[in-house]
Amino acid sequence: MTAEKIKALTDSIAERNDHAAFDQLFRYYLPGLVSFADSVISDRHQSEEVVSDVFVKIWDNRKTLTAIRNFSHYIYIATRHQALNHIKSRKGSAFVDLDDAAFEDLGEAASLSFKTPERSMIAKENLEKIAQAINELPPRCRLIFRLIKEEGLKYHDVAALLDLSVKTVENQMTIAMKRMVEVLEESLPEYNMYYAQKKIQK
Amino acid sequence: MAGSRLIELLTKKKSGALSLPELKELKDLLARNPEDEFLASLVDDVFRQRLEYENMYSASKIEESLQRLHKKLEQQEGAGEKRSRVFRLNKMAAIAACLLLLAGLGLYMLYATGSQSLKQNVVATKKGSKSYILLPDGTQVWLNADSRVAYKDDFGKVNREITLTGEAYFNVVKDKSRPFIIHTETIDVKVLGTVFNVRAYKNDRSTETTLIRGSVEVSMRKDPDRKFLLKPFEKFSVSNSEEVRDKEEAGSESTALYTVNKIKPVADSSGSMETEWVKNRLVFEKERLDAIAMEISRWFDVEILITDEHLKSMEYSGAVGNASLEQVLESLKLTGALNYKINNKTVTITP
Repeated sequence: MTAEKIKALTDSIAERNDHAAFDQLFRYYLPGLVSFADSVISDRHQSEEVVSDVFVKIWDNRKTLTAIRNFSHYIYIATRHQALNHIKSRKGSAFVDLDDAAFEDLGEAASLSFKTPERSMIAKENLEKIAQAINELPPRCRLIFRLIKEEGLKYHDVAALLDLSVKTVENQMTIAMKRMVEVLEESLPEYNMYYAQKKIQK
Repeated sequence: MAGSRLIELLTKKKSGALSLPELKELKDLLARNPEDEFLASLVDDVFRQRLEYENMYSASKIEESLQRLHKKLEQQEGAGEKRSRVFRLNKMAAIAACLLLLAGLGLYMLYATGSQSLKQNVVATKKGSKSYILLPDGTQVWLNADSRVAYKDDFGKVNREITLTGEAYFNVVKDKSRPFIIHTETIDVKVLGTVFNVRAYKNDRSTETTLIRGSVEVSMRKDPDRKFLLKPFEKFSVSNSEEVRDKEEAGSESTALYTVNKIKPVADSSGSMETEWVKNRLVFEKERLDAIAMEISRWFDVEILITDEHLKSMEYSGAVGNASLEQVLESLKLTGALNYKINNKTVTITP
């Protein structure tokens, strides 16, 4: 979903109590947020509870939605906080310690795929190889790649969310990109042929 | 093979972080190498494809989750109606129940409606509890004990203004067009996007702002032209006492009324002594016992009596993390020259 589309949905929820828009947001964010929360909690069922609690809060405070500039960033931070709180309440302490080891584990629990490719120069099996390479990245690196590519987050948003420096986020994104380019170079005969031709011409 | 500079530039481009000179560099690079240009178009192609979860959620699973969310929202609304019925039946019981609920939460949100004015959102903590708030612009606020943050419903639309009493640690989202302003009783703190701590308890001797990253501008409420620009790891401090301030205005510039001091960053952490409370650490450095007592009182929600005047002005240093009231008092005792007794919610400190 584009940033403009998300902004239109959240505005409609705030101004017109739009239930359908709220449901649409939930459908869109659910898998990503559950996968993210799962990296903290390591319990799929509890992670879904955490995400639905976040959505209950969003509905309760829907009047303030118009003031939120980047909803994706907002909802991921809210989910992180709800998930850390969940862990704390399990441990029986009332306050979330920023040094919590859970920060180090933040990442992506589930694996990704290009399920419904659009018109593409790249064959389906090669897209699968790329998805596989992305899934083989460390969980945190994969999460950073997805948040930037799919959710349109900026380096500093991701840095704030995962308690990393902007430089680290950029490095992780570059690692993911490098891996992707390697797969493209290895698995694309079109590309190799083109490359070889150029060499001959030279 | 694609060069590492090409990959760097492509990464930045696809992350929306490419600067103008870098865009030009990338264009030049691609113009020189047709194979790189082809590769870049393949990268664009991959980025047009949507990455989904492999087999985590089917469409029907998502609908089931949505139904459960609807049930949760209905239950919540139902609970609200029930409470108002109880209220009619037995006001006192309902009030008692609400108070208990508030005490349990340690944090409450209050919507005070004026007839014409905008709704005010208030988040407050009691003594003995802390809280975390995410403001609509994404700014993160950690609220220390016995503190209160308020902002209007239009927060973030044209401006970002909040009022604070007590202590809070801020991680402000950058937005040059809408500066973030914190109003306290004695000072205003204006921010563009940064990490810092503001301490403005009414019964403290001074109001303080400690900057960790970025830059902030502090101005006096009574004298808005008086501005101080802080650099990272500087602490601004101003006396809370009107008396001292009036004296200073009368002309004696030598009184240490406003001070800007360098502070020590804490090793292996990104903060300073002033912000250790966010990590649940109680830290004192050469502080008077009466000031420490005030902090302990807020932290653990207890009354503290110091029987001896001389003892009040004794200075102590120390740091404890995640400690209980007994542990804090015990470590003070070890530092020397005092004894204590805990009786219910009152602590008596004697020489």
